Amino acid sequence: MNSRPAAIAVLGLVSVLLAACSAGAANQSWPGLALKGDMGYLAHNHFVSAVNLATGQKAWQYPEKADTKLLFYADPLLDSKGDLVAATYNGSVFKLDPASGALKWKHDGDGGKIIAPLAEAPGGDYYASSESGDLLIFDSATGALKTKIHLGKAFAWGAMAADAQRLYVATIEHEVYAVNFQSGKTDWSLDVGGSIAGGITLAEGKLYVGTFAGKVIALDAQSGQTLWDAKADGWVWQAPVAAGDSVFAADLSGTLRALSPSDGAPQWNQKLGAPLQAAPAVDGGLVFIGTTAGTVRAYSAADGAQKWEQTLEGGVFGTLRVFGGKLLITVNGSKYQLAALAPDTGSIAWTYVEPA
Amino acid sequence: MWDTFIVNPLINALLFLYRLLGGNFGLAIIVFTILIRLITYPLTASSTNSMKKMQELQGSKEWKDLSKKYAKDKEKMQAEQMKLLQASGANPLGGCLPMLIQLPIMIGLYQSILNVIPSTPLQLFSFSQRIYAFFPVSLIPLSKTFLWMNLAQPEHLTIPGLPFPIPVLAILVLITSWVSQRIIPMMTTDAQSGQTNLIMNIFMVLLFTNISLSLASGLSLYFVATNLITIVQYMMMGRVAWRQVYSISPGAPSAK
Repeated sequence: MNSRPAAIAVLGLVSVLLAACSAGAANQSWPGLALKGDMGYLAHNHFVSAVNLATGQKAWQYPEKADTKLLFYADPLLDSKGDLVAATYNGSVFKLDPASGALKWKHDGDGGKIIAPLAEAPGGDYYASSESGDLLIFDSATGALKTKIHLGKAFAWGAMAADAQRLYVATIEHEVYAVNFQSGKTDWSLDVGGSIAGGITLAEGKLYVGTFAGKVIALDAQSGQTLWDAKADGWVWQAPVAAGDSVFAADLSGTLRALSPSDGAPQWNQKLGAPLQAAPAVDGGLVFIGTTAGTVRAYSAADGAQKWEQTLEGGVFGTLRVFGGKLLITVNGSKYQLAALAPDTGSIAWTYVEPA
Repeated sequence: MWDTFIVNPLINALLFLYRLLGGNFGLAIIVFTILIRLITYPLTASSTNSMKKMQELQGSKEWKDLSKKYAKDKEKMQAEQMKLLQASGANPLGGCLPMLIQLPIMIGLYQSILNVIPSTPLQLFSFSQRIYAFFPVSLIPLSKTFLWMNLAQPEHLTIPGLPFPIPVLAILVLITSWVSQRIIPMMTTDAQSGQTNLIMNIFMVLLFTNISLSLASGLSLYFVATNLITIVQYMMMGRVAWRQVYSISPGAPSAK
């Protein structure tokens, strides 16, 4: 009996299956976003792109041609001098001119992942959390690595926060660290009992984190003491947002809740029926939130009453921001990666498709 | 459907073992692979027995006589061979059907290992949607370290004094994949099929080695574990063809 056709068929089947499985393992994330003036800066996959917020048209992209070794994940940093700084999954850091996209300097990483956005210290240095557990400190003028502060196993996946004295680092290994800029030492650290993927929010001397253990936690920034914690219905991915008289937190069970910043007491909640991975945005008395299934809703910040609903292609992951009169939303799993909506009605103004 | 009934239960079983084994993910992969292979052992044994029966039949005088007699009439030859198969109770599909049943489990296992060690935000989100509610989330992030390896990254061992790192696991995958495929006695004795088998063996070994060089080493650990178990299983069944292991010629007949 001739077994060649069967063998070829099996080879083909196995190749296709394994190729499909391997493809699933590719590194990927949702777009990171930074906003300034009339421009939005999107960092995703192999490019950083500048998008005109009035038209949704691309102004420039870096690099010109895709470099498959570069994977941009996090929100780029717009520093105090107005420059754009973006880091990649393999630990490289790029400083770009926000007007033209011209490269100012580049630091080649050693392969240690950087997932969280960089933070700027009061002196101008850039801080990056590396997979190695180090805080990498870069000279903002040259990109040279000035020093490292080792924080054990600590690795931040979400945005760090800074005040005049300290950098606050919330890690996937459950710990929050307060690192003193002056001494380079840890002023305090705290195990919050669950992974923190979405970074940390600093507002009026309080730090807010959300954990995979399903908690929203408020800490005193000075001492690291827990001020209160509130239970969520599922994993809290993103850092809570403090605005006005409320702290807003979303969880993967699909619940958006408003809490009192003083004691964490519940004010109202809304269930959207699909995971809420992105952090809410608050502006003009409205809270905006989007689900990973693509539903975007606006609620009254005061009482949680729904104002409008819109559906996007793909899912809302990462960022919702109100800027320049538009609600800007980063999207995953769609042909477009950024959508601009009218904050008062939810109508779609434009969508942006990143370079291939 | 596939995720709900195959991949997600496997992921949660793997997490259960991870917890049971004190948070050692490498051990969890090895024990999990052994358990899955034990559960599917009856299928493996059935497949091997079927192959043995077929091989014996194809080596028989009657079979060879038929081949000679109808050498110029392939259609007639196949019809007569089928009659012989039916008379002897051998099933030509008996060797591959049990393997086909195992295939989804193996692919599911492969996917579950890929999913359970998320190293990017989107992978972590996908993972969050797969784990059952009763899993203690305080165990996240899972420890990815096993011996010198980061199981979420391709493995390379740096040896002091050597100017380049050694992909130890990929080398082990290459060796064990080759041995585990070649010790299985060939079902057929004709040269053309032997050639095809050899090409398949080489292709599969290179494919697995390439995957091991580029993907998470947790997968490579699974490949090595499953290859070693295959070798042990065939040795226990007394059906190994060691001569094929040392040979890259297609025609080496099976040997005990």
